[in-house]
Amino acid sequence: MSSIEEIVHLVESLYAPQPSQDVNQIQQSLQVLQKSPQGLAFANELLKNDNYSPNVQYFGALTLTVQLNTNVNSFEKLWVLFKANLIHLTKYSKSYATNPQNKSMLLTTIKKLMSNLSLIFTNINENETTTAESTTITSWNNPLNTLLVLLTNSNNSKVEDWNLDDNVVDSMLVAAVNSQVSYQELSEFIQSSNELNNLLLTFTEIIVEDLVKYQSRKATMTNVYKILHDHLYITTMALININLNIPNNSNDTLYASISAWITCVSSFRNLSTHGNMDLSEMFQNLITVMCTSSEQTDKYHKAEQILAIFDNCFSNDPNLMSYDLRSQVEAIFLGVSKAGNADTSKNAWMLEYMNYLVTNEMVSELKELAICITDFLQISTLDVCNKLFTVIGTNSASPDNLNQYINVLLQMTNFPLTPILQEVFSVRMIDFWLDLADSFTNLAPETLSPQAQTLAADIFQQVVLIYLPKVSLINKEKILNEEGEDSSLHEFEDFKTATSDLIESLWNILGNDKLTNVLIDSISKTTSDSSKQQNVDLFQTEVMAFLLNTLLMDMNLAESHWICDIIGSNKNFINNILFLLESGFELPDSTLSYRHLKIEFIRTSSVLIGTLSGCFLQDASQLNQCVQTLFKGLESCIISASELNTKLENIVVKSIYTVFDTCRTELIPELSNSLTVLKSILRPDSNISNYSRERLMHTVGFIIQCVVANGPQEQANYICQLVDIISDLYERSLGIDMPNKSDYVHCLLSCISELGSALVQPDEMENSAILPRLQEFQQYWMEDPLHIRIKILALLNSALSNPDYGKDSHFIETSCLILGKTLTLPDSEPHFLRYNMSEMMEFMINQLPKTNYVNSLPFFSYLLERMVAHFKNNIGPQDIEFIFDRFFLSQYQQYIHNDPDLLQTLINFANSMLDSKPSQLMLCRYWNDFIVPEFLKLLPSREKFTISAVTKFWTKVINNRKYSQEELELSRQLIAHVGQELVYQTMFGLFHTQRSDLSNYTDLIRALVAKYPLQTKEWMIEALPKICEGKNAIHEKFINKLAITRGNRASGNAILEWWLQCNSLPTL
Amino acid sequence: MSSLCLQRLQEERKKWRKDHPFSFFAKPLKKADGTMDLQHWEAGIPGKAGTLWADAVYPISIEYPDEYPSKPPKVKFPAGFYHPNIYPSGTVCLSILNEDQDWRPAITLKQIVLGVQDLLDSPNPNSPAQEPAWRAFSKNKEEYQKKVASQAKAYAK
Repeated sequence: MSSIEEIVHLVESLYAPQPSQDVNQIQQSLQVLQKSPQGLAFANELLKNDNYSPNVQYFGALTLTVQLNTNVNSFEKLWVLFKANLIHLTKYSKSYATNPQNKSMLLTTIKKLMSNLSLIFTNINENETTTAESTTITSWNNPLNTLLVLLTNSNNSKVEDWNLDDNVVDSMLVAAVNSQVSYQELSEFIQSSNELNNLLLTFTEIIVEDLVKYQSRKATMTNVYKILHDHLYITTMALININLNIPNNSNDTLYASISAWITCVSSFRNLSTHGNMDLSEMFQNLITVMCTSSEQTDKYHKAEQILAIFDNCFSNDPNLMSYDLRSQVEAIFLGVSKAGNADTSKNAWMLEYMNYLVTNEMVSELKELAICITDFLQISTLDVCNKLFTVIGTNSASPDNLNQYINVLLQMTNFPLTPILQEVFSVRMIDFWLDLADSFTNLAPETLSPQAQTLAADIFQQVVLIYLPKVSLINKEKILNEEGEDSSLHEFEDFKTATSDLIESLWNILGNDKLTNVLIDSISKTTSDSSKQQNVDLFQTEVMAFLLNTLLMDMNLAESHWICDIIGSNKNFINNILFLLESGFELPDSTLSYRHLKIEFIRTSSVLIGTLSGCFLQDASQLNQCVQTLFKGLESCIISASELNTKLENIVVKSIYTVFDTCRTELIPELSNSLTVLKSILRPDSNISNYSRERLMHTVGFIIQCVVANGPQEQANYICQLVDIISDLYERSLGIDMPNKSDYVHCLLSCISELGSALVQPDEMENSAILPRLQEFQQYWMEDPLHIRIKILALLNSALSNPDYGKDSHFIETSCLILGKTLTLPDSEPHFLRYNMSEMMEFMINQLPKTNYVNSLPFFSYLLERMVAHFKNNIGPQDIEFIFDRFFLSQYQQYIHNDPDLLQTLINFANSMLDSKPSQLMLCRYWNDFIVPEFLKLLPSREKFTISAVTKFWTKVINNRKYSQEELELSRQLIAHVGQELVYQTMFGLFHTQRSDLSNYTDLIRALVAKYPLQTKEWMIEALPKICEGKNAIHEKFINKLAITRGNRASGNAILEWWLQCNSLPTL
Repeated sequence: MSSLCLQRLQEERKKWRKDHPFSFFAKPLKKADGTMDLQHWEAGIPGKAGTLWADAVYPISIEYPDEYPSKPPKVKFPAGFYHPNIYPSGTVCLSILNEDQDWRPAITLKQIVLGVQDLLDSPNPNSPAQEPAWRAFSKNKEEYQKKVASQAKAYAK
């Protein structure tokens, strides 16, 4: 391919909307050409010809980029490419400026050429000038000046005639590269043509944007920063400031260029050692231009652009703007300044602008303004805090001024529109108030002014009052009605959460007196006449209850008598919370907003009731009312099955669970009623989830656990009643056809497990009423006269006899949980599920052949582990042999051997025995016949869980605190016997393992070195050369290091280093 | 706490407040005196809509070491949290939280919580951290799904 026409054709095909040829192939062909020595010549041809399409011309400029990157180390080539770019840029710029309307398509190529020159600018200036040869371009100070000079020269000589090989042109270009341009010349050039002015602005923008991109090459950029600071910055600032002073200059290119420069100066000011690049004049001009922008002149277009620039500065690097300038901005934004010396008259402009945005419902622009102002305010939170509350800043600010300042901020927070939907001032101001509150909390007490506490309380109480209506669900309802469930809804929810965070912080300042109690009092008063409820009261109650919950959650109400007294003395408080709950249930679910309100009313009130349960321990007079309302609510949401009802049911059940857990004794009078509710929801036709059935069973169990005053019989009667209900429901379920029957039956069994868990004595209730009658209870449950355990076992056996259930690991898991419920409890604790070992073994032996072995073994193993640990003094090695044989070895070859999870189960079972009574395992015949040889072989496993379990096993074998003298001796004999093999397998496994599993082997090696230092050294000397050949020096160094560490933490590094070196990986 | 750590954590807090994904929350815990403990955060990860994890917010704790941001924070769910890549202690096994793997000091809190949210429904088969969830996930999907759904109920919004 050589003819230019062919290339043009290919380029056109490449950019065609529907290429006739394979695009990849075209790209490859063109790429070869771009990189070839002829690339420059082709690029020139493509760029020279005005008749080619913009795509072809752009491709020419792109080819110059490729050439630049390809010939980066050749000065001669670089200069040729430099010249080519300059000539073409001048030609295209001239052409565009002469006829901008028809030649706007040239801009893409112009920008590409500018970008090429930007790359050249960086490349040339990366190194400081060292030689002074006249033909060598070793620095390029000012691309703007160069372009300006060339464009000026092009007026005198026809740019189309400029050739790369022409010596005159060459000299002109050399002269232009570092020529000086006076301010006057620049100013005249700018005035001469809007287009040329814009091109200069674009050029400087592209250069600094590229510089920011190249920042990662920090080490070589020092000289570039210097050149930038000494030359380009000065010209650009002049260019920008002249532009800003041109009346009615509404030029987006100007603002894009300013933004790029702010980013650049901000990025470099911490890197460059060549002095600060001050932007004050530019900022001052921007402020002036902003305040002249109006509806009449430009529909505030310039103001929007400038505010965006300011926000970028305030949020990323506010110190770019001097204090004086920021004071001016403050006065414009707020109409008041903290220092009191700024010109506040320009605030009229701001008010006019805000008015314009509000009147025209320009929500997005109003949001941008809010973001800008609040970002600005956050720059000086600490200063505001000091001036307001300390004696540090009072000299420079008058109290009146500060009061006015705070009032403006409060007014801005209370912006009179719907948050999110219409305004975001209130949303964004949360951060400011939160920062101010945190700053105040962190102030040293000795710096506080005498009136600081009063002033802070006054300000922050006003803040609370402003936010209460702002985060009310009334506004959520408006959002839902207006925009549905889109992102605004999430924004509102985040707003509400942020407000609760603010309230939490404000509590440190306002305390219970001015915050918690006020909220309690206000909730009591919102709906004092409950017969005349209006929605607005409910909304108020909801928002206050929501925020109050945030405060109360952090308190232990059972021990906060003072708060409970306040709650107790405001009887309407609980009534109104319950009214909110009832109203939530009564709300229809016909519309989207109703559904949301329903959920929120119910969630807020029921969560608060749960939180308040600690108070009922002090005064239970309204507890019954709460429970009744919760049950009534639960009843209403299980009338029919729907997604909404399932959600509500879950919320209510959680609350019931919390209340019952906290107020067990206080709720004993409610037991009978609770049992009735429970019976009803356990029925298969009840529209409630199995999860809720199980939780409610647990809930009722909490009360039964406390029914001890009249002896064990009463408690047993309740338990028996529940077990009979479950058995009955199970029997009945056998005869009916229902969807998800298996899940239902499983739920019934889980309910027994939940009841068992609820009956476990909580730690904090050790001194409960059961203690005086402990023996009586122990005796009772040992005898179990109502045969509850037998009934449950029969139920389990019956359920598992159904092959579908018997093979379902869920059923095995739950059965094992039930049978093993008391295995982690002390023997002295009475419990209705205290099965003996033979009952458990019989159950497991019966079920094992019928189950899906692979899925069920982990659950049997769970029960076996706990059983062996619990009955460790009653079982001997023969029992262990039996268990091993029956549960593991008989299936080893068929299932376990190839399954890492089951291997882990088996090894963990052995580990659990080493943790409880090691001799049981070490003296059983499978120890030497199976466990030791097999577990040695498992050391170099590939599977993470196997490695973790087996290395733990051998670590325990070597180093076990549970060892008796006899067991210790057994261990020593074993290690003396298998030590060499153990070290070989361990090191072999370590060598071949992945890095993330090294720590498992490390623990084992540390144990070996600590317990058997001399032998381990010998074993290592023998083993390592066989594992990793030809690295004896590494092995020797490793063994010596290991010996020095004596198994301390430093061995970890030695092991890692050995592993890295042996695997030829980079060392630390 | 080093000044670098403190500075970065203050910046993280600021960034989070300014821009965080919807339905997530994250805040430093309070010390007994009411001041913020920037090295210990509590956060909530919402399950992604349309997955088994949806409609629930899962609590995590985030502990920043003194060497942060050179070293990653430790992210923990409650102990016993059911997920193949969560250790029994609740510690999250995620490459971006591993100093030896993909941790970079530039990783933000937002990236971490989004990474953890992604992990919930897309367990990493190369980093199993707990046996029960891992076994069920790889061998018994039905059991896995039931357990996850039940856990989602427990942490329902």
